[in-house]
Amino acid sequence: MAKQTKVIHKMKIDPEVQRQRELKELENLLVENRELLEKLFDILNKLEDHEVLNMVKGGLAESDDILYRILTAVESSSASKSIKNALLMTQMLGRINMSELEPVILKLNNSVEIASEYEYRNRGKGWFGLIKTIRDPQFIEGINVLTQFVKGFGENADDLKKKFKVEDSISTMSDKAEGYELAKDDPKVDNKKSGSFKKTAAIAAGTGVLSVAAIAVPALFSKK
Amino acid sequence: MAQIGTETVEITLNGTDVTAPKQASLLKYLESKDIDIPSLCYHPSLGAIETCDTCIVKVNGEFVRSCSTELKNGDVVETYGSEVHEAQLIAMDRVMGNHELYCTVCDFNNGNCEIHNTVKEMRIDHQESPHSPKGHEIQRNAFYRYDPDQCILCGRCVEACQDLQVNETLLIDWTLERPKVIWDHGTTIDESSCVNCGHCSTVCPCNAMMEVGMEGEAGYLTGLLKDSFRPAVNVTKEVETGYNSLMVVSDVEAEMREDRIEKTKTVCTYCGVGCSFDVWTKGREILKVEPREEAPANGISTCVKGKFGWDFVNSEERLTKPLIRKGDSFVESTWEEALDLIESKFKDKIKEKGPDKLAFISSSKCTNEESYLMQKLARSVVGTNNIDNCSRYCQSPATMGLWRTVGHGGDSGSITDIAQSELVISIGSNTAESHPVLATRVKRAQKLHGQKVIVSDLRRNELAARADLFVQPNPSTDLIWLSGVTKYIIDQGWHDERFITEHVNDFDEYYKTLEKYTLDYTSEMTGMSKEELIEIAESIHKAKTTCILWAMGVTQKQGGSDTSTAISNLLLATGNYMKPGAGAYPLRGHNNVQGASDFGSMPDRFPGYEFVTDDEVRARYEKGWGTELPREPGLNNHEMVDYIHDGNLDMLYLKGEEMGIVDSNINYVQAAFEKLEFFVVQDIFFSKTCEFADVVLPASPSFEKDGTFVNTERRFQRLYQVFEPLEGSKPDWQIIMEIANRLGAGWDYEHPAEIMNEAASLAPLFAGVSYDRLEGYDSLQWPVNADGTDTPLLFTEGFPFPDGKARFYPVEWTEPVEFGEEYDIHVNNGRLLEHFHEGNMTYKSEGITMKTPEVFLEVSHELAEERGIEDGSFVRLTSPYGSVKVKALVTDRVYGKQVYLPMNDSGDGAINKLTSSYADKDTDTPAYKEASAKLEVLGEKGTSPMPKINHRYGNPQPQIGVGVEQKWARADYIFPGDLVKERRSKK
Repeated sequence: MAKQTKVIHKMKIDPEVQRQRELKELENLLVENRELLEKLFDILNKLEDHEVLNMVKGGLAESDDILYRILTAVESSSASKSIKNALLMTQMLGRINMSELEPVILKLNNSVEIASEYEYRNRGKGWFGLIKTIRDPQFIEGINVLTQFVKGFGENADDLKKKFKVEDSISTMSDKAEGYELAKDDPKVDNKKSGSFKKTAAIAAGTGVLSVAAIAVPALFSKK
Repeated sequence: MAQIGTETVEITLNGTDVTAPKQASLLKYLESKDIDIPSLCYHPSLGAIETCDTCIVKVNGEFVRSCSTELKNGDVVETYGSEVHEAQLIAMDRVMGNHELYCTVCDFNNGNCEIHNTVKEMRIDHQESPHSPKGHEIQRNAFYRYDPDQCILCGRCVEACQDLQVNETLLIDWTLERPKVIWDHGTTIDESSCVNCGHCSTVCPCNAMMEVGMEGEAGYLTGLLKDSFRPAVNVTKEVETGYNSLMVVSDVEAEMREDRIEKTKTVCTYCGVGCSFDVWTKGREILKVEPREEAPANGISTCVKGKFGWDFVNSEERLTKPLIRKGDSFVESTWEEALDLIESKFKDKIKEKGPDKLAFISSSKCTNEESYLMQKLARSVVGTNNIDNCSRYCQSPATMGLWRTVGHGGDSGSITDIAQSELVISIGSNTAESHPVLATRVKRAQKLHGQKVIVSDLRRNELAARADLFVQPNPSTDLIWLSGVTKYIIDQGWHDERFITEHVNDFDEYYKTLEKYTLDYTSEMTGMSKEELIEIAESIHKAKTTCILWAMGVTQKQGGSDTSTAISNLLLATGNYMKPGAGAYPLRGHNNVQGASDFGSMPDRFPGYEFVTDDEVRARYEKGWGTELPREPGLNNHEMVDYIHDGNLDMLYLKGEEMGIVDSNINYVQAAFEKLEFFVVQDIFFSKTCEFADVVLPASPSFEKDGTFVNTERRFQRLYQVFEPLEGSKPDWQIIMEIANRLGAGWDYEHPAEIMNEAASLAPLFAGVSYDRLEGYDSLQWPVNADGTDTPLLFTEGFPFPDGKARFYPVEWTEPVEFGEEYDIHVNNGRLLEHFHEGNMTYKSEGITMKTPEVFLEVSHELAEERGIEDGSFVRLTSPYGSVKVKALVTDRVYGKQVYLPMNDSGDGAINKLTSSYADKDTDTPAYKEASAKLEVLGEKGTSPMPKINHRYGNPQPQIGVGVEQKWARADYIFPGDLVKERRSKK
């Protein structure tokens, strides 16, 4: 015989009992993970010594504002161009065959050294000196090497890409764009490639310039 | 959409001669051959839309969209080549001009963004045309949002809305300089006819149309970036050196999301259609529901409840502690205390007065395994057959009608059969609101494929409004017109004599009983015109296949079983069994109405519908369970109430049913509850029924357990546990097992799969059912043989009677309950689309409640004028059994003195305060639909119970497809193939 009722008396939980139970659970957790916690506290102490925790705390507390400031600053400055160039450089570095470049770099270093020496110590050789130099076997060999280098620049970029297995980046084609280069109807290639010749040439030229830069920059640094 | 057929054509594909299926779209064929063609507007469930142009290939030297191209003999197909590639890149350029790639900070970046994936697969590194904002506002409501700046105008959402869901709300306004998706010709989502079914967000290939649950939640960065979102995107665009590297970063981020977003397949619990889908969760947070094409019943379809109605799972109102009554109140207790009390009470009662003083009610919302255990507890542990489930309230008469005539109490085929039928007749079924996804298949077939739809109903529901023929017979006269139409068909010689001779018994005897159902008599009794009756008969005669769908408008009557029988008789007479696209389809209302009975929660039958009185069957179960079993049938739940009143039933254990609200004549039922000596109720909320209990046990909903359901198609589907049970609650099967073990059962099930194995080993109807065969989206339709072969089409060789023949079963009309002259208003009742029953789950959804906050009484314009009723008028309905007070809504969905009261209230508006205890004479299913009342206006003025943001005020804009021809006709549109040709010609 039960009359309809909506009254429910909630179970009373003694707060002290509840607290003791939770403390016990926490204690067990600490004991089970003692070694891990020791390492963690060690790291945390070091971070605290270096103010890292306070910095992170501040950063997280104001994360959206800070991010907003950084991003708008990047957006409105030339920093975005720098980042983009850095990313492009990274991509270019990936295309340079550093192992084959080694003898060339040695020769370049040598040339820089000789040039420096000339610049600072033996200036004023004049026409006579130049004629004498032309007869020098090392000069002749040097010119031969440079000739080969320039020949390399003259090779067809498409052939070079095939040789070095470089893939073009693919771009969509707008309605308004004109003059797309017709690719060859080779399914294996066609499915991957497109883009204009100008673009390909620009990439090839860019690659060349960057290659030289890649050689020259470390060489200069090594001199210093 | 084009399907792969059996006819073939000879074609040349990229220089090689091949044989290809004739009916396939070229794109589908190429996909089957692992040839990747980009396709952004194409969706396998929607077919070709032709808006994006990315799938261009060449056929016979001409550029074509492969999605809409059908192959012919001799076709020469080229999928490679610079020209084809160029055309595809032009199409992609247009797409990317409409969609900004900020993948890493996009909530849609979960590995399934089709734009992201296409850009990656095509190795696109740059886009020529930059993305630019379209200048349109973001549209949003409580469920989903639309960002025009991310929209690629593929039109999938429009196609899904127009031709799959057939709600006809979405369009693309192609006249705008920058087109966009619009609602009802340009209003807001909430003020449109949108029913929030979620099809649009499900099919969107990107983040343009997205569930709001995903916003700021799915990604690691998406919730962090607020003001800094735009600068972050801009800087990323400034510094990016190509999309490929960006894609790597976003792919890594997408992979990281796998760690925290769980995707779990489950089955919906809001109706009997059996929609299955993945639930995306982060902890206990539900991000979205993602239906998948392979879902056997629903594919990519959902309704608002299935897509967005799951907030109740995390409601703070969930029960988390057992409650024990102390006097006139409850106290929270431990499980130990509650189970101790149940054990002692049950044991004492069994010992003192025997097991039949106890009764058990299982739930049609719980799993098969739980229903199986409940009846096993009753029969094997307690020793009584007093076990029933709530299909008694709805579907038992339909099952009875089918048992009598064709032997199996289930749908004749699948939902796909309904979709392919030439003629669908819906009787007493508010299908578009009660089984929304199933209704979409009818609406689509009618709209696109010329299916004829006839609706017989008192109320102009959505399907009625769309029907080719809508008839409104007098209340409770369906049996008469069904018999009249059957007689007319036979008299015209339109019956299927060959089918009847080969497959059906008792024709002559049956035909004699039809004698009185002349057109004159039928017309006079039903109020239908002779022309209407003849048109129905002719329609059946002309159609090669007819499906009849019916529901509570038929079954919840005193003659519910007989009318269901008349339906089956008509189908037998016209040979509409034993073939695809035909048959009887009683539409099950709850997710597991079918399964609850299938698994033996019935007073007279074991699982698989074998009788408890059959000695051989009982011996099999006694051996299997190792106990002696009661041989006499027990009480059904209607009888249980009477037995309690008479002092012959003392204890009741009820799980997952709001019997105190959903049973008819609830004042009588609630009075019975008060007389119970001991009452155990198991639920997820403190329901009205709980208020009468002695012990309340906190159970877990479907998201928190494993198991299986059987849908209206007789289809077994697995549900997987989405997350752990809320602390303090338990899955029903575990609770039942604990109670059984307290009574000495010694059960040791560790997983519901073990329960299913046991049930399948004992019930021949399910012999081959196992969890292994139901892995993921796999399903089985019973009967399931031991080797795992199932039965999508129920009757193929014959019928499950000794001679393999069906039976005509003569039936007589039963006059409905007479309420007396003063009760002049006929109270029809049923469901609303957006709420489920009394609403204790759907009212927990803020979005749903905002749109439909309370129950209302639909009143006709005629009645409103007569009684001075307006929208918002407060009225009282009084029947001999009780009264309700509710706000009125004046509508043309009802006529004359017909009113409609949805069942979505457990307070003053609860419909079952008006209904009687009269019931179907054969099954005791309450005659809910035979209710009359008198109406008083308590207050003429008031605010409308339906806010203006309800979809019923919307203004749908029907059209077929997305209107791509309008796009093609725009001055700024050139077919990419033509553009390529033009460029080449200049070379």
